[in-house]
Amino acid sequence: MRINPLIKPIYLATAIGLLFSSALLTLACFNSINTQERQFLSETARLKEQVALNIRKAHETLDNITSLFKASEYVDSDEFDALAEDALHRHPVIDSVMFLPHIALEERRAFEAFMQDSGFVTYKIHGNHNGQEKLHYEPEYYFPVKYIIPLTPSHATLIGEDFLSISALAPYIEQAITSGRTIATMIRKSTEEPPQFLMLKALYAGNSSPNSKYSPHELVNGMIIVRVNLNALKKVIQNSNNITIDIHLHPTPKDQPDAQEISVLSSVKQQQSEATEHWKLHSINTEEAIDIGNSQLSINMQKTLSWHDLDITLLTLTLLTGLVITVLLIMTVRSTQARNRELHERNEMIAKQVQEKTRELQQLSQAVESAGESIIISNHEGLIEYVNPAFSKIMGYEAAEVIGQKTSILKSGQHDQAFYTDMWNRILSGDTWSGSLLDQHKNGSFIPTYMSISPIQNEQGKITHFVAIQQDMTELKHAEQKFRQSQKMESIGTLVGGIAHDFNNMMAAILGNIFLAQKNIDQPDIVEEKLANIKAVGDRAADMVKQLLSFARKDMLVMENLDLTALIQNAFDLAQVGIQENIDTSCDITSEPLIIQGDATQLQQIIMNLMNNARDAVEAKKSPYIKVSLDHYHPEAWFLAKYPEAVSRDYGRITVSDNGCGLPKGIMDKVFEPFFTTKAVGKGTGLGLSMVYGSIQTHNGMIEVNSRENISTSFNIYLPIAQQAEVSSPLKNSELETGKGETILLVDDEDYLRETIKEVFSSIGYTVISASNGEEAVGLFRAKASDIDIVILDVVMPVMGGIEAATIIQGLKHDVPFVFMTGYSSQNPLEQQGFRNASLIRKPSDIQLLSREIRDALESTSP
Amino acid sequence: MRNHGGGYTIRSVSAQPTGKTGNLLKMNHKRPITILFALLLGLLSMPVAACAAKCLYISSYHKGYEWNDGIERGMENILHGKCELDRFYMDTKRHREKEYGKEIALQAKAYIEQSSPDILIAADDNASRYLIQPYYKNSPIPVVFCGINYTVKPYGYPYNNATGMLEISPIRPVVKLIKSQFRKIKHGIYLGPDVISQHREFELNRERYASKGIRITPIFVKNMGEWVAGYNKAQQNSDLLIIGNNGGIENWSDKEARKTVLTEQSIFSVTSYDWMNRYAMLAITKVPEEQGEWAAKVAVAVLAGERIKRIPIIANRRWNIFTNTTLLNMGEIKLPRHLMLKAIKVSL
Repeated sequence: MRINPLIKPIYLATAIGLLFSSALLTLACFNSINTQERQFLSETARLKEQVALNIRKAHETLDNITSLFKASEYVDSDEFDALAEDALHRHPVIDSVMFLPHIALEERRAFEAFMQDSGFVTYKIHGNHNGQEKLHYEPEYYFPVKYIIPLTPSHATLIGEDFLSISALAPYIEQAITSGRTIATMIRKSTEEPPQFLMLKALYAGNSSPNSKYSPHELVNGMIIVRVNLNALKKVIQNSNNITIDIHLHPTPKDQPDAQEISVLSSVKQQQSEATEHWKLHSINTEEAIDIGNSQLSINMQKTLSWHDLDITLLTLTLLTGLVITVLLIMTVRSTQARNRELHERNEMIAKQVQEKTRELQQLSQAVESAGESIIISNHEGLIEYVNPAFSKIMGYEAAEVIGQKTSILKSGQHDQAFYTDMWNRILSGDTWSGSLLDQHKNGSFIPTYMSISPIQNEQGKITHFVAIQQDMTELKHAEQKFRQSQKMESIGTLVGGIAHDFNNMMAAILGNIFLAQKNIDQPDIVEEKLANIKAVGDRAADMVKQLLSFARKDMLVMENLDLTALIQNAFDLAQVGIQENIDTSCDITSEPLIIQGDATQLQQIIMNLMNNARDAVEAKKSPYIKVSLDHYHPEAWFLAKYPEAVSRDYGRITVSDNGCGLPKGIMDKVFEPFFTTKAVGKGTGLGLSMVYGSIQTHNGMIEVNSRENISTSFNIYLPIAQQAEVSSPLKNSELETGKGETILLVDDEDYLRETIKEVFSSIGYTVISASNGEEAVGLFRAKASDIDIVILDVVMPVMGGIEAATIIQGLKHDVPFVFMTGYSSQNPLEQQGFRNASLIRKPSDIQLLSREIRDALESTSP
Repeated sequence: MRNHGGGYTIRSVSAQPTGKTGNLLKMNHKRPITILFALLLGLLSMPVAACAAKCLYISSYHKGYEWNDGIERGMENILHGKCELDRFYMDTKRHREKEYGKEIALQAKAYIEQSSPDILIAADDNASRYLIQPYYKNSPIPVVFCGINYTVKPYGYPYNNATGMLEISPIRPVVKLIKSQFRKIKHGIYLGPDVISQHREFELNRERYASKGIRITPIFVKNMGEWVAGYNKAQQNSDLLIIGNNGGIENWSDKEARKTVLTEQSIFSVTSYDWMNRYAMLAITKVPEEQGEWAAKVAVAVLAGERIKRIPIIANRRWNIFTNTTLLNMGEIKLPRHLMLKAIKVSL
């Protein structure tokens, strides 16, 4: 049979443990047996000592009383009582002490009379058969009991009993008389009475001894008998621990052939069942001898050891110890196996985890490598350690070019120091900084990005690296621009109706004034007044168109310092054009200048969207109103708690409110989501507020909406106030910049405009040559190139456009300055063309602005 | 009073010439619950009663008499837990008339027949004289007597059913002491009341002392004056004064006796009566407890199966020793040290 290799060590450990247990158990058995034997020997020695001591005490008492009688002429009962009672009191093993005088036949009556006179009034010498008067034998003398102590009623029955009448005792009395030594014997007076252990000693007349010239029978005058209390002796030996004790008496020394052994005492043997016999283990015995005068007491002590006698506690403990060791061995083996198995499993698990982690890292690496966003990892000093391929794609740098370089290599310079300080403060505090910024492409162009920069900290919390995830926002910006443009066009569509109405009114005013001027042509004052009116109306129309064109212009985001008060006022004025007259509109703007950094077009679009929404909301209201307000807002606690990213201490707060239908409660947090609208199908795109939200984010601002359904809605926009900012002023002054005799080549296909401008500039010190298209202009420039100091071109013209013409002209004279004019907001010919000295103004433009541009262009090229 | 735990009951019956013992349980048909309860109690106590032997103590005297009470104390010590002890007091110390003795003996006999004791313990002479000898000699009921003075002959002991202990004054130890310590004493006077028992006491003393070569002569008195005169005479005419009992001396006065002793005492004086130990230098007296203990031990042995006839009649063997330190100091007499150690010391 093949054994599982895992089980094999357990079997081995079990076998070793059991063998060890068996060995321990065997040792414990031997030890227990040895202990028992030692205890037996110790116990038997003690028992022998006890028996010997008790017998010796009885013997001593016998000797003492004998000595008393030897020492006194006469021992009266008081003296006998005192000595005997003292011995009895001290030695419980003595049952009684008797004095038996030797009474000759002829002394009997006198002795009996004496005893009767002494208080034993019924005293008579009698045999041991119930005190019969007549003895059953023919005595030569008597040994009647005279004194017996203790004098109990039972003992009192012995008083007067002649011990020679006890046939079993008579030989021993004889032996005691003849030997003069202590004789010990066991007698049974009758079958009804228990055996008695007696010690006898004869008393002789005077100081004589049996060895004198007189015979013992002549000398003997009494007998002292000590009866041993066998029950007391039994108590001594019954205390023994399972030891069988047999006490035998040898009346004469044992080695003599005629010695007859008499059993004195046997301890009760415990009945051992047959089953118990089977458990017999070992038998031990010992025999001790005690001399009593001429006799010898042998004590045989035996103990049969069986399994029951072994120290069960020791054996159990030994067995348990062995089993515990076995179990410990098995547990150790199992534990070792389990640990090995665990280590194996752990190794496998670690290998698996390593594989998984490797795979994860590979996936992560692949993900990082193939991510669309650029990922830059720099160390704590800002030195780039890693860039992914997307970085190269977005920023134009190969990885090798930027590794080891500072991240500042990407700085566009378009953000002020405060911007970077704020950014780094946030990052170094352990937070992630996220925001939009302009980075510089390898080719020098600016890349709009959205970047998240996170610090990486070690276990001690120290920043070791920075991870930047950079998203190219160029496409998104274009999409946003397109979206905003569409929003603008949507708004423009709304404006057209109102503008047409205003334009009609203004045209009517112009025509009316022209009519009045013509009618009063001969009255220069009236004509001048009417012309002034016409100019005022024209300026107003020009402003309106300019605003419209500015709004509809498809420009890129230009963040610049703006005076929010003027901007909101203009935006309100423009948006108001598209709002029905029955709606009460009001604009409350603080007189305090609030300068922000922002894009004017986007901000106008925000106001336009919010007011258009308000207009739609109040459509069904009886007394509708739309209120726009602007004030200076100092953030309160709730604001800072709600917007921890708030970077400014001062905000311009724009509020657009209405008393329209309001917003249901459940949709408050959805209103800024793209394509979410509460308007009817076809009335809203669902992108208006989304665009507003995006624009506010671009301006690092916040927007909040508060609304009560069917009651009111208000939008609060918070835009951070720029610190120490100066507002860019489009015009430094409003004066005409006069010419110094320079020659202008003016190219425009609009005849009336060309002629007007030619007339104006001719009147302020310039020589003006004009052409109606580019081709004509090129011809003229070829002809008078040396005379022409500056070329003013419309961008869009028939036959040849302004750009093409300018390109040719620049080829003819490379340092000639150009001023382009265009009425289309989408056009910016300077972005693509490498004109060295060119500027762009939008039509219609102020004569003052145009004169300034011409003057600036001429002065910039003059040596 | 019944003690269920030990089966030991002490029930006293005083002399009641016309009295009779009452029922412990009175039948009352109106109270069946009480009867049921009593029966239950009876059933519960039956095994105890069945196995406890009954000993009837017949006292010649009365409860409160010092000698009697000593005997009772001795009996109670031995019988406790072994025998149910009942008592009958003949009260013949206070009623000395023979007729009374006979009458009370009949009552005792009736009580014995009624209570059926297992053994009788008869204390002092009158119990044997009036009750045991006439009615219980050789009867089936065993009798243990005690306290019989000097001899059992007047009552015909021994019987087949009786044994016991005599009450003999401890003269022998006194004589032994005098013989060993006061060898010059040759003549002594016995001073006692002129009553029969004191005559008998004198005879006993005379014999004992005579055996040791000391002559004793008596002075029997009838009253206190004679006792004082006798006392003074003894001081003048003898070497030893043996003071007998004072019972039977008219107008006995302890004060007078004390005064006489303190002023006249000059010779060695002894007595065998412990209540007279104030007036003698040495008193060796009987121990009543010994009588009670022996009688009780014999009763227990007989009840345990010992044949009463085999137990011999014996005399008392124990005594108390009193020494009167005041008188010994006055007479400048030294007693042996071992005697002084054993003695109870009294003074005047």
